[in-house]
Amino acid sequence: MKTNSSPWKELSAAARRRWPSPLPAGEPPLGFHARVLAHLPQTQTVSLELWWQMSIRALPVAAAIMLFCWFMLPMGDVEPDLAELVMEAALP
Amino acid sequence: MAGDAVPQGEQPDGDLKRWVRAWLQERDEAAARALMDALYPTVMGIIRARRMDAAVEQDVAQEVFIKFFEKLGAWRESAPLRHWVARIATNQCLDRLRAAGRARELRLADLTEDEARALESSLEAPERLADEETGAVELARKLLARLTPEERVVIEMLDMEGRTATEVQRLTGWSSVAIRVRAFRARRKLRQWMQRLGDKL
Repeated sequence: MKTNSSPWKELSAAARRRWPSPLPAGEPPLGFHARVLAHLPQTQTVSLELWWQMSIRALPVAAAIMLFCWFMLPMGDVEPDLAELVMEAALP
Repeated sequence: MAGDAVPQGEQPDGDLKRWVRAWLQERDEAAARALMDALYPTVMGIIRARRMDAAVEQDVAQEVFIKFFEKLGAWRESAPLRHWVARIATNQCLDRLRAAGRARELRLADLTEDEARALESSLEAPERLADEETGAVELARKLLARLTPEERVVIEMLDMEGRTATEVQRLTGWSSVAIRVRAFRARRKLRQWMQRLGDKL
């Protein structure tokens, strides 16, 4: 068979004349806006929810550190003073 | 131009910018709705140009607008908003085409009588193609479906929709070199496939 140097060029030129134009799109269908907007708060609150969850989980850790500091660190300084006060009050 | 998917001047850019600011600063839903109304024809024009299943069109449009609002904070007001959303729509269509995969190799048995005649005319007697445009459209569609999604989009835009390389660049975000290379490779494949099929006629 005899071959043309650019059969695609010939075919596409012929096809282009009948290539259908996209149908015009007027307005979004009913409920379209709501469906899109419904997805947006979820995507925007993901980061907020993540921070909230991390904050909640961090609370027990923070409380444990605070209690540790409260009971362990001041012990060396406070106990002698208390003992001193008790002794002073008890002994005339 | 056939099937211009980016109608210009439908909504003044000033309005679009005002709605964008209202959405970004106040999460004003009325502004978001107005943006969707204004940009919907542009988005659907691009989706329909890729000839997706009618049932899928609305899903893709929805995905485009969700991405649009998610990324809107990164939009610079110096860039036209319609071009920006057009690029998101084109890339979303490409994602869909990639997910759908390519059609298998085209065989002579897959062609209808009209398509086989269009093929023969393309190879031997292009002057006869004027009477075989229907077969030519269908044959072109079948051949384009065998290309990679990127090649298909480039060839559809350049050869079938009559867009310029600059327009393709704006719609896809690809460099002019990438577009030229893809178009060259795609046309070479199409030519080879047609000649291979023609040898079996």
